[in-house]
Amino acid sequence: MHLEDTTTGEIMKALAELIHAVGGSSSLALNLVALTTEDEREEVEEAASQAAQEHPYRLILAIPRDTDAEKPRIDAEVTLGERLGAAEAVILRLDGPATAHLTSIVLPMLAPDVPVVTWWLLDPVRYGLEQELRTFADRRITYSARATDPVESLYRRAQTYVAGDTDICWTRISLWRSLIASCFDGVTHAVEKVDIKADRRDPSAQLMAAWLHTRLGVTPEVVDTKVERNSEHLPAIASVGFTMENGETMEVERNADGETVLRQAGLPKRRQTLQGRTLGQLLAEELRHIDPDTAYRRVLDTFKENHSLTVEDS
Amino acid sequence: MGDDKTALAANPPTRLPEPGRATPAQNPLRDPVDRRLPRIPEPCALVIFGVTGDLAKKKLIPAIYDLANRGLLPASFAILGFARRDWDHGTFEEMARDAAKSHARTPWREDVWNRLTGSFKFVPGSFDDDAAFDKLSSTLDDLRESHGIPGNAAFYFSIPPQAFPKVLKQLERTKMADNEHCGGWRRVVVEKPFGTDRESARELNDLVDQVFTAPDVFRIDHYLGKETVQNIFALRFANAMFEPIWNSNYVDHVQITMAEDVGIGSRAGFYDANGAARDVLQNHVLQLLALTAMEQPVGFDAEEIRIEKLKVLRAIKLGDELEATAIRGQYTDGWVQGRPVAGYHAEENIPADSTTETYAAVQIGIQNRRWNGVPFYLRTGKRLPKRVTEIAVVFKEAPHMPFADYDTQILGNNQLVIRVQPDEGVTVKFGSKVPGTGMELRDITMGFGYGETFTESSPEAYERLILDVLLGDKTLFPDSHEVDASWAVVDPLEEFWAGTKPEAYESGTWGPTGADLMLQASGRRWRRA
Repeated sequence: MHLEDTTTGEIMKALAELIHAVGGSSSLALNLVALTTEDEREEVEEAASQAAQEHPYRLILAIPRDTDAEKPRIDAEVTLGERLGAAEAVILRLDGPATAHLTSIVLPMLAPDVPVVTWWLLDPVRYGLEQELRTFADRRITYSARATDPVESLYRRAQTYVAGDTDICWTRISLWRSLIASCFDGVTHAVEKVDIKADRRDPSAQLMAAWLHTRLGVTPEVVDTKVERNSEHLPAIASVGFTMENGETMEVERNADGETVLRQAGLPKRRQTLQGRTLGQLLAEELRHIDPDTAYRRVLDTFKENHSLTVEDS
Repeated sequence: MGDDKTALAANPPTRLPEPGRATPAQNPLRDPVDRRLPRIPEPCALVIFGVTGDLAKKKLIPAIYDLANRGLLPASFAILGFARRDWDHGTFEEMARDAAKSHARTPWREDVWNRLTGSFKFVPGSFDDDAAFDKLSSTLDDLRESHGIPGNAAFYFSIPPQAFPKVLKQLERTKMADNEHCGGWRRVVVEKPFGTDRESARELNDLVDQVFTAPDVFRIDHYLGKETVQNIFALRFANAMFEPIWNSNYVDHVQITMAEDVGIGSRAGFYDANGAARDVLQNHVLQLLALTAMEQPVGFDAEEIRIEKLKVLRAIKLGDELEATAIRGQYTDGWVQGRPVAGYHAEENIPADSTTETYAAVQIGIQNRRWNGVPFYLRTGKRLPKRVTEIAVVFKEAPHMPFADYDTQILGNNQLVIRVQPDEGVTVKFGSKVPGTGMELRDITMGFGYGETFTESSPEAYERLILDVLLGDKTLFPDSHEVDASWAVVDPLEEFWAGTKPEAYESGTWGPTGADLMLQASGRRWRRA
């Protein structure tokens, strides 16, 4: 259903009619408010519909359109169970000052009393929206790899961290971390040295280093390496190696196709696969946890300290 | 490398006081608050006896693929098949690939499968072939070198119970079941039936416990692997609104239904010797009852839950007059879902004079303060109108209703229904005003469906249970005392039924009239599931 030059009241009425027409009841797990551009709309929609299979939510997708327009105007598209899958979805195109007042548009549209998650692929600072979005979101998902200066963007978020912040760059190293962690099951010696071969400009690589630093108490050496990736949403990490206090080594290495080799002293070489996940799968993982991610916070703190040191050095 | 091996053999992996528990605490990378890192088992092997059977093909192997696909298998993992087939490793791998491809729940990804290739080993032989078991033992030992698996293995008995003793003897003889000898954990997974009565179950338990240590024995009741069943814990113990009314002050009675629309299929021999009570009531239904009726456990440890379940099972009391409270039936021909079906006696390989029941309905009481005077009605049957498993808690009527009788005529009792399958979820039924100028009241339902609120990716029961076996987590596995307590409920029923003929019921109906009368005697009726 398309509504032109409309109001939130009309939008909610249209949504209620659609819900009524399909039988009425719905059980929503959360509200997802996404901020994106027209160029990225399809990508966001695809990811959202995929994540909605796991977490039925009300999706409010805000797209700033003609930001220079003098008069505020809202055009809306309301859908249910169509191309956006299981989600109740409202796509907003905002002109002029409407964008800056996004909160006033979104607040009345939220499904009552279920958590609110915001997600943006574009930089909300550009629209002066960061504070606004923070006020009503329980969780805020960013994707720093998409910023013009990814590591700097993550650093800025680390400085202004509030409970509930998270970043897809953290989500996308979960499989890597899980593989590394399982190598450590049964390892009794302490780690003396950690070597990471990765693209230093990738926030995920920074987070990997910070995670290992936090957990093992050893500052990893990151060797800047060009990493070929067969999926956009993979971390730019080629290998992670460990040297134990007794001199034994352990290494996890991924090639461009996703084949991953584990080399561990005393054990035969083992193969695994580490493939990139879709944005929808990453989003779904993110939505599984609605409370603040304490583990991420600790890692982000480590990253922040180390990063400010690097900046001072240079 | 050689040095490492001797080190392993000399110092078997550190054991925690309670054997069989995973040891993630020592891993510096594992942080309890980091919930994104899934629990992954230590390097291990899964040995499947009876790998050519339906269970292995349709459930076990697909579940292993699904686990691999979700990244939940350790990097060092091997699957060993044992069966009387002239196969080599390659044939087994091919069969496993076909099985996984056609029955896996997660999408098929070639690269996920490829990482499992080379991890399939097949050992041909029969259960009394010593050489075959020696070969199996050496194949397991070789995995240390070839796959980096230091002795950990789970043996899955996907075989008829008559074969258990033979296989157990072989495992004992070859020391394959010996944790110390193997330098890792050795676990065994057995499927129901756990015996056919209390005595045979005890014999079986003794036998298994003698070869493996009791903590290493995992009895699979796949119902406990279902999300909704685990949700009973969450529903009862994580909410403030249900537990205060979860007792005889507010609950009128409880109905547990496990209905199947199918007949006995190809299980004639087994089924005719056992019947509905032994096949389903003794395990699945009583486990559901235990979870519904148990007291709050001190914690969510396997042991703490087991203690509470056992208390409830031991508090079960059958009615004094079993004629009225233990009903059994047998299906005759009829129509199920628009198709004509044969009666039980006309099924292949069923004797024409068989008195085995295909339906059982029992009224029981639980002798404790919480459930004093609350009847629990349990029923299970085949060739019923549809496949459904549910737990319905039916509440008492409101103590006083300020409405005229004629306004509330069609108002029933409040109900809380836990739907275990299909359409997993929870439904609450309560009275509400019909729109209009009069004060007319009617029942309405409010539902929560897993499929709607958390769609899709709930794992298959076997997936969860196999993972738990490999992790050594026994929370979802009934132990030998529970099995014993359950037989203590079923044995007197079987004794009472011996020599009697089950009541006939037409296929496609909700069972024999006797079952309806059982509830009508106290002014109640079965909920149409």
